[in-house]
Amino acid sequence: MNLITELPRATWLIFRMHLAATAVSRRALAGILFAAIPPLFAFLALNIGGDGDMGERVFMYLGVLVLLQVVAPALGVFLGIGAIADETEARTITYPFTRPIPRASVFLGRWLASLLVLSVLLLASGAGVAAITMRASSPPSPEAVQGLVGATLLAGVLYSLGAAVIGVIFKRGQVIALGYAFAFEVMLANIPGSAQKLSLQFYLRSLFVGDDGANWRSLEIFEPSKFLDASASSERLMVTAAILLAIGCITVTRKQFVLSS
Amino acid sequence: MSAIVLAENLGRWYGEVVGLGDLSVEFEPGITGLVGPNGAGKSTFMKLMVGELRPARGRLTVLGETPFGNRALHRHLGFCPQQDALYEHQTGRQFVRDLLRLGGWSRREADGLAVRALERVGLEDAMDRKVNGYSKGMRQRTRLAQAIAHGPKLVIADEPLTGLDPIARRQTNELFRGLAEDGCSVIISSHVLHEVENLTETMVLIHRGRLLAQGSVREVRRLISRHPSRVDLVARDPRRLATALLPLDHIRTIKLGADPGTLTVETDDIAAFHSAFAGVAAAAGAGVSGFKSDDASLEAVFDYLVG
Repeated sequence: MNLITELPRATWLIFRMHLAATAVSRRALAGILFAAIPPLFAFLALNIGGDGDMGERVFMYLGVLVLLQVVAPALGVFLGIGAIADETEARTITYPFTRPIPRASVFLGRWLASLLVLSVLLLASGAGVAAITMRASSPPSPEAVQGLVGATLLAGVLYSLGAAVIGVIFKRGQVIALGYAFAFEVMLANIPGSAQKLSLQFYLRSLFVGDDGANWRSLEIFEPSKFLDASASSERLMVTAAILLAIGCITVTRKQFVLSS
Repeated sequence: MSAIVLAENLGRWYGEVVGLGDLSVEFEPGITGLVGPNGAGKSTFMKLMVGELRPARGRLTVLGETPFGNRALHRHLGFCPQQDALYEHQTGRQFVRDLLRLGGWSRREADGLAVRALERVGLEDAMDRKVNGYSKGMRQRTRLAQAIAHGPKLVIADEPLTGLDPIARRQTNELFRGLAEDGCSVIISSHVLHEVENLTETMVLIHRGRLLAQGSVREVRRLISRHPSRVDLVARDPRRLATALLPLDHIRTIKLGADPGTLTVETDDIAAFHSAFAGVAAAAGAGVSGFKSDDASLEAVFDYLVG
């Protein structure tokens, strides 16, 4: 069988072999929690404090600052990095690599399995934000929703693929991939000037800002909520610290720490 | 007979660590034991043979083909890796079946072959259980099943008897013999020498990534005739026995053991020692109560070779 016919066939088989395992992997379960953050924030923003008339703005802020700039890269890295790295860490890569299939099919099949799980998570996250903000009195336009969700899915493709490639090249690729996504990218994407064009974010943002950039400009008129006074603020910070201390103490008392030999 | 594996000046490094130094060796069809201590380069050599790694230098052909990335060759190879790794979310049957499907079999064909291979390794009762609940021996047998399921011409098994209980070990040896009778060549690595000795007369000894010796146990013994044979003795009066043996021409050394009454003799001619010993011991009246010659033991050969 030649490479042209064998590559898609083997890729499909590898994809099917690993899809279920990827969907219930620890990475995916952590991803579910992460993907729930933007809808949760949207709900809190619109329902706590009575800002129910800010649907469009909440959608844009959460979409750009959280979903596109944090959640999509983070999930992309966590799920994409495992494509080959999980096989090498588990030392199972010997099996597909000693079969009569193109080696590339192992990478493609595993990455596609990760991408499907990632896309479902990002779609659910984006749809959740859209559903919550569209119930507000000033909802986002369908075009804005479509554009942002599309950009987020594309971000998932690019970040997961980049991470998968880094995972193939480097032994401990996760650190490098996270460093790229959250240091290099963020710095490049947010400093003024044409250096932004070196970041993925620049192009992803370009997908939904609109021809005149109106969607992006709406982000620049950010008006913070009214600040609390200092004593109320101190009180709440102390309560938060006490809760964290309690959680820490209970956890350290109950958890079994298994030490590596 | 043409060689199934041919290595010429084969080398593979991991950074500055030598996995395989400068190995030149040929494997003939049949069962061959690849023997060497831990770190000798056995696993590296096997990974090169199955195309998981690429040689840094030299030339390697397996069944006449260069292994790395050779899909045509992989149809005829079965590899049982040393590492205890399986796809933990699968059952034994799914694991073997899915790997077979990568070889081009339909789902039904692959399932039939997987069941047959798992029955052959004695896992018929556990094949539908998740592999993460298998014992170490069952996991080892699952790895063997995936290596033999597609009817390969050559099975390469890295430490396949490790972790098996004596019964499973015997069954696995029988499996390898059965494969050989069916015309399949088998290369088995081990650092436990009697495992290989029980299975085959043909062996390749490697150490520090280089060939030490090759052939049958006896041939290897001849090849290393410059090394002495060792005989462990127990006597009531070991000093008197040592004094009586020392004049024999072929005696190289005699050492009194740490345990009372024991001594170890090294001789350059074990046959001559056997002929002379009874007479000398009787004349000395040293009261010999124990005699153990390691000459026939592969372990002894190996000990001498690797120092």
